[in-house]
Amino acid sequence: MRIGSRIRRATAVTLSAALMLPVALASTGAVSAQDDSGGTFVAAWIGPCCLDVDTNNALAAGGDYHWWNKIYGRLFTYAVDVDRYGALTGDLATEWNVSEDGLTWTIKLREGVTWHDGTPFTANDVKFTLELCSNPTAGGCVWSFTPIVGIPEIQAGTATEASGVVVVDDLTLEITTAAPNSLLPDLLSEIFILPKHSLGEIPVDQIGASDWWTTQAIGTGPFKWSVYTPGQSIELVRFDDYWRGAPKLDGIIRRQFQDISAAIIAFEAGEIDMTYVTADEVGRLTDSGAGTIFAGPSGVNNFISVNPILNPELADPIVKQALLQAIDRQAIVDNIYGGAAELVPCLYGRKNLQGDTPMWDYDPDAAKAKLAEAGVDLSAMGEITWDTYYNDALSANVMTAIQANWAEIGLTVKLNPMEPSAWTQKWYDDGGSSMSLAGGANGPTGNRAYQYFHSSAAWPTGNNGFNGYAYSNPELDALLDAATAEFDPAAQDLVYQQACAILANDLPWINLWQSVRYHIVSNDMQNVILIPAAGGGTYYDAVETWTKTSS
Amino acid sequence: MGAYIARRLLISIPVLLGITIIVFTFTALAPGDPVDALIRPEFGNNEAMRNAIIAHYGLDQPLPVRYLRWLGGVLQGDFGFRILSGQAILGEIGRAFTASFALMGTALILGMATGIPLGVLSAVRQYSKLDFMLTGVTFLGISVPSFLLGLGGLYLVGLQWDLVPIGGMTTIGQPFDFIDFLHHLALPAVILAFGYAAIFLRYTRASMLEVINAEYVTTARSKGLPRRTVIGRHTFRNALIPIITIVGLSLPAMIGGAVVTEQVFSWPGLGQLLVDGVNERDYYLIMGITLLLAVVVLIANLLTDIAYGYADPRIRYS
Repeated sequence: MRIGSRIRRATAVTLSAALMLPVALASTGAVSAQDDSGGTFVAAWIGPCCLDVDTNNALAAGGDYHWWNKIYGRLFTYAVDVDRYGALTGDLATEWNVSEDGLTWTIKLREGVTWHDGTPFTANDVKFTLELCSNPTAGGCVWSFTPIVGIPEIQAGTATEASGVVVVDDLTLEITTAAPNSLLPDLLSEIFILPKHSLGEIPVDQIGASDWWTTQAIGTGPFKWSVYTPGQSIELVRFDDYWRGAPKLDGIIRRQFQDISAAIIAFEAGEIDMTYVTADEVGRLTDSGAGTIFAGPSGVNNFISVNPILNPELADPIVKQALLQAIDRQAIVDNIYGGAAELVPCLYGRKNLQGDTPMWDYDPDAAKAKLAEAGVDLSAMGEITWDTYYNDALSANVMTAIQANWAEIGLTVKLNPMEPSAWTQKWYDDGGSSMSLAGGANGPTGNRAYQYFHSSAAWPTGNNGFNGYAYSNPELDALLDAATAEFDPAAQDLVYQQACAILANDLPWINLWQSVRYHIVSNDMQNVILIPAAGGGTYYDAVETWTKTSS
Repeated sequence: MGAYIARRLLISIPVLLGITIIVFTFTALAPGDPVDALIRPEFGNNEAMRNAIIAHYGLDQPLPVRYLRWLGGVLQGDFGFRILSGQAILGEIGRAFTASFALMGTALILGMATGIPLGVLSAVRQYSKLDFMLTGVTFLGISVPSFLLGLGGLYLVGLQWDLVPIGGMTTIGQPFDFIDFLHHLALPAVILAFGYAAIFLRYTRASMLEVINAEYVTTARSKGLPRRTVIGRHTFRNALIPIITIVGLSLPAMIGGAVVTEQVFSWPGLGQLLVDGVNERDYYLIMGITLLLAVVVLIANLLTDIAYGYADPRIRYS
């Protein structure tokens, strides 16, 4: 395919975000007239997205992204479109384009950005961050940049510098990928950029356990580290030299809560301005007028995975389709989720990536017919242990409902909620789980399918399968490779739609739904942008424009 | 007595070693490891990260080697670092211990100050209205789950009546103030004290009733001694042994026995720290807390035995 003709479309020139207002608002939020009164935003970062105040390594933390973005900056971010991701935009990057052959990206960085200690931000910081993240002695990093030339060598421990990341000058970076990869900006949108001049002073093998993260942490974000009280709170103060302009708020305080109910009580008492809320509390809180509910798709696909090694009878896609058609998903969404979930045909929750992929609607008769066609008698399999790491009451109710649905087609399952790390070992390390209810994080693009379903992403390199097994479909592999190399967004969507159709047919994951998640924000706050997103998300929330009125 | 104490302390050393070996072994055998704990199931995975963490923390070493390395570090005062946060474990334990001690110590003192006198009263006025009322209240204190009491207390006392803050040890963003600290401590301490008081009341009542009809008590009454002397010197003193036992058993709980309450009140105590360590499969954190708990239990048992000697002159140790 010709890449040259797509370069003009691929080339994105983004003006400084200081001139750019958010595209849209959260679905139920309202923008009030701005109030320049300052104040401190106090909140509980709690819920499925979040960790705690004591986990402060921004490389290794697999969550809290909407907390870290208050301190650190990224090269790219996403605008918000009502209640979900919108378009990719520049953050620390202002301009990016790719060469004719689709391999070399030239990224212009924003001028005038400084770290919290006043040191200028440069391309060296980006190179440092990417190499640090890839270094296996750095104590862990949740992201992987293997498409970039030289990164796999660092990951393997045979190099310390990425030959594919070149600092052209202080504000220009060239990144070369091993193959054309239109999703590089999306990949780079995930990692927070760290200061080479500060963190680089620490030996790499000490960075993971370093107290830098709690005593000297500096970023390019709108707020800077102030006070850390272990087990209790973190206080940030306004960074007056923030490149988008000094924030309106004086500061932000993150309060530690272990219990969501306690956080909700604290919100109602006026002690905090924001918290995650469970679906069963939304109605009551809405009626009370205590604040504004921010709702949206969670970005997490709930699915059932089946172990084809332990249960070869269930490996047949026809049988898995039968299992799915035997589940009255809509009734579960209506009655257990209270309508707060969207059915999905594959990994993707975004309609533009689903296309016309069939949903496998509830039809127990069709399910039984498929089982007969496959020659499988589920009742002869005996009781299957159905594991999950979800330990909440809602998930228990969901599994109980599905258990009853499956009983009608002869399948008997025993519910087995487990602790997350024990589940991880059982499913991934041991390959010992017959069946699991789990969740898979989605991102702003269809890129996540690569790590879950591409044959090159077999466990433990990626997240496909488990020890001794990986799903493999050459046709899907080809589609995912093609999507990665496709620089036309519309054409890329069509490729992902085809991938969705294959995933809906093969059902490596028996896809259920994507639930809605909720937060509540105090009526004292204005201009807040907040969407549920896996891990907290990579969207631009314009926190420097948030204001707080005293009540 | 001195020789007895010294002997008990010496015996404690192999006991402690045995406890640490058992806990280390069972923790290592539990499903999952720190890498599994680091991997959030809804996200992807990174083999290099797994291998790095495994190597960095010596998780690929044989179990005895790992145990001896930990023990060697502890003997030199190095308890290691938390796997997820990198914080020094000794510092983390010290911080959490202080928080737990403040909360549980206050609750224990309040519980003893209310439960024991009320237990004496309940025994002295057996089958009275007061006795029945106190019995009902104690059943409530023992039966109601602490999380329910905690959340209910927060909702009623904190939210509806606005008498106490909602969680935490101090008001964030302000310099430490002892009155503010007491304000935050009040509700969780009272809720925990309620549970303690219920237990102490029942044990005191039962112990008193065993003694109150003894012949020497009857003799003391017959001699015309004041009621206060009969109850205080002759009855209560002789009923002390079981009370000392239950207080002694409660001492280790001061360290890590209020996980649920700590969670509800966001109180950064040792119970919550231990739960975090288990969830994170942080072997060094688990071992550090276990060692502290074992030491506290051993010391509590020794203090209890010594207290027996003072309560009952017939008990002598050689």
